[in-house]
Amino acid sequence: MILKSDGNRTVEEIQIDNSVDSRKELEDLRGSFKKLFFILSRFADVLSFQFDYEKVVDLIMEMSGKFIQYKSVLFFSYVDDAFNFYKSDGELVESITDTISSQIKEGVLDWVISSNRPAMLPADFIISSDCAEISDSNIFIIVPLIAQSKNVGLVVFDSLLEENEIKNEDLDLLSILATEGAVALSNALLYQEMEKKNVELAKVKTNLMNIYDSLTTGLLIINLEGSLVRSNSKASELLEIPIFDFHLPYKDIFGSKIINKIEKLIDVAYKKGKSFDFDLNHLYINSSGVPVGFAANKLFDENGDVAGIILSVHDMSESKELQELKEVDKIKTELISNVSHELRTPLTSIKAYTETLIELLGDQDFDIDSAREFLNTIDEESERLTGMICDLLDLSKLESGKVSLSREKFDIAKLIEKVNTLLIKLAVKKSITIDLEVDENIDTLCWGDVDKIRQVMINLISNAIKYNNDGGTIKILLKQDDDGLRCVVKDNGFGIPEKDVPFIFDKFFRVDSSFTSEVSGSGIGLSIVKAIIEAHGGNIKINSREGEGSEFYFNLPTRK
Amino acid sequence: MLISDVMKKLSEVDDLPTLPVIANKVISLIENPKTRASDITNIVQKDPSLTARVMKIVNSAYYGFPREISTITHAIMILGFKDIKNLVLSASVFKIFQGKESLLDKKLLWEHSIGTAIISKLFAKRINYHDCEEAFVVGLLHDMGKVILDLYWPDEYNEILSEAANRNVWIRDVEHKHLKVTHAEIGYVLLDKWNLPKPVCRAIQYHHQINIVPDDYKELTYLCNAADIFARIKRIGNSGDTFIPSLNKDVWMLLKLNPDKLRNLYEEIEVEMGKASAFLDLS
Repeated sequence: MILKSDGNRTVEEIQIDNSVDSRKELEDLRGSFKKLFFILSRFADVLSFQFDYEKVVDLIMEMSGKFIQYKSVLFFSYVDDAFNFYKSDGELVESITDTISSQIKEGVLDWVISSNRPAMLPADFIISSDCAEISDSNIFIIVPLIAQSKNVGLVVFDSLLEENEIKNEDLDLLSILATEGAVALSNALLYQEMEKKNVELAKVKTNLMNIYDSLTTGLLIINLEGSLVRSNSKASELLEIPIFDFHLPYKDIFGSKIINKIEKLIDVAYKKGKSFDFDLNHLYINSSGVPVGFAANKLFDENGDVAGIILSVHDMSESKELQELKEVDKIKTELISNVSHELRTPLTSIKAYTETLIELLGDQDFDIDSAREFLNTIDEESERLTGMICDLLDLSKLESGKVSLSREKFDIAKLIEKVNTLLIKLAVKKSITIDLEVDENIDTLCWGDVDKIRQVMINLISNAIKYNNDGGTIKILLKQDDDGLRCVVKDNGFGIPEKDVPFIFDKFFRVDSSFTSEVSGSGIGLSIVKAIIEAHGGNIKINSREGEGSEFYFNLPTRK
Repeated sequence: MLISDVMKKLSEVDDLPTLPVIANKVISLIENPKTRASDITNIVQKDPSLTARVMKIVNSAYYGFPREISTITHAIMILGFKDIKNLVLSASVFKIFQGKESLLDKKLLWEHSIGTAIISKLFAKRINYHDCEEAFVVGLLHDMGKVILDLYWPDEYNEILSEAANRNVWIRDVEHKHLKVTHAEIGYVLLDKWNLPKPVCRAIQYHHQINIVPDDYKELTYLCNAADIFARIKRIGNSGDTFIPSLNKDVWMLLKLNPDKLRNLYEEIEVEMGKASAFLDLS
């Protein structure tokens, strides 16, 4: 009541009312106010700066001593749903601590605690009268400390108060002490708890960061504003950025290639929840040549609201290699099936003729001429088989780079002329004319492996004959070029369908059309040609149109 | 009768119930921080029957103290000065409710007043009102005006009560129609005379007119209004009116009530009222 400003009785009134000793009473009142403000200001101090539990307890005990004379004061903390003796001051009688401790949850003490306000109790309410150390006239003051309906502690005084001297303000001040003390204590407890939680949090955070950084997948966290909030070490390694744990717009961090990818991914992820960029043929390749894949997922906060995007960054080299290996494997399988097919054809005839021959040997009408004919065919087919196997071996040697070219200077024009005489019979059969045109004033000397280049020319010119109409023409042109000498072999034959052009140099690839079905071939000739030209540091290309003819051209070096 | 007449008559009545000397003295003593428990004890003990009534409540289930409290001093030490003040006030005011029989059932009105006091204190605790005992006093005394009207103008008040009952209208409206004042205002005048704290007097004056109460007294008035209504809802005693006013939205907001909490609140009220029987029969 002492703080009430709108009460009916003011200090002046009291002065008038009680004329007996008004001056003294006024001084008493001032004293009460002083005490009150002293307590309040001390607690305000502590509440602002003191979070140490023990120091708060000390302060509560110290403050109590300012207006309660006691023999001893006991403080009980309230932890884990139980009161525990914490510390004491004054001449402590051990039996009191024991008695109070044992009675805390029962009878009178329990009533005081649950009534949530300080009470003064005659000693015999607590201590049995045969306890020698306590005189009956002692008054125990029980001050439960309760903040927000929760126990935080209990202060018990074995006071020196006399029953007749207990004043109104004593209980009021105790109430204030209890309220302020409880708040300070619960703050200290909260602070302790927070500290504990902080340590735990720091541990969790460190663990998380360790896990995060040991991931073999890179992670980027991008918030709703498009800032990169965090990245782990793998992400930094793959994307070649520093490790981030601060906010910076991702558009200020990455190059335009990554930005474009991330922008799209984030867009789709916000719309659909997730998005990927794992297309092996269109991966981002970092400066160390590592192909990088991305996946984006929505990031949710603790309320389940979208808070940004988690972008996982994957090293795709293995996938890329795997893809390449798979392709190689596929090519190998195809190769084996093609090779076996091509090899079986001559073998089948050889076997058929041989079997017939064996049968003929037992026959009465054995005809030596037929036998010779058979043997000739067998010989031809064996020749073809040998040629094919040699080609294959050549090709594999060439491709593996095991063949060393024996280079020398030679005149390619002369070489072509020789090849032409070699093939002229074939051409004449189909009434095909072969022209060699050499640009004026050019040097036709080349630097290369004569045998291998001869192989190239035989292949190209015989193909031009084989895949040509009767009466067709073949033009061979030799020109000077920036990269040495250019050789063009041009026919006006069947030509190659557009869809097949890209595969024309692949092993065992054969254009499948009504024109070519009649023509025999192994499908490795052009692969060998390409390998040889490339071994010479050149390049072979083709222009072709179905029904109009084909034009192969390549360059050869003219000097070392 | 006109308002001036009522007020005039009220001022002329010599024997307007005074707050018994002892209660008056206790109230003023408690204003003083230096008052000793023994000072209060000495005053109260001068009236042995008052002492007995106070001790009856002190040792009743309402407090549920596990041991017998045998002296007023001990009661003050254990329950505090303010509680004892309220007990003295309740035990004193109770006497005034013991008038002769009339249409106003004063036994039921007392029960209603105790109910309102206890509920008001309950609400005060819920909203952390700074002085829960003040809320108790307001609840206890909010219908004192009715007792005064019944005591000094028994015939007129009988008419008012029967008219309200017959026409099925609020007693306070009929009071106002005939007297130009209501029991709330009369209560105010009386308690002001008794020197009770201003917030208490004002809250009682406005307890039926919460929309015009000055801001300073709003909380206490709302507490009283709400407690009055809940006492009616729980049919604790009888205030004279047969129907129950609805709870104003602002009051609802102040108490932070919601339908879920209401059931708990009803249970709490029942528990508290169950413990409060000592208040009802103080004779």
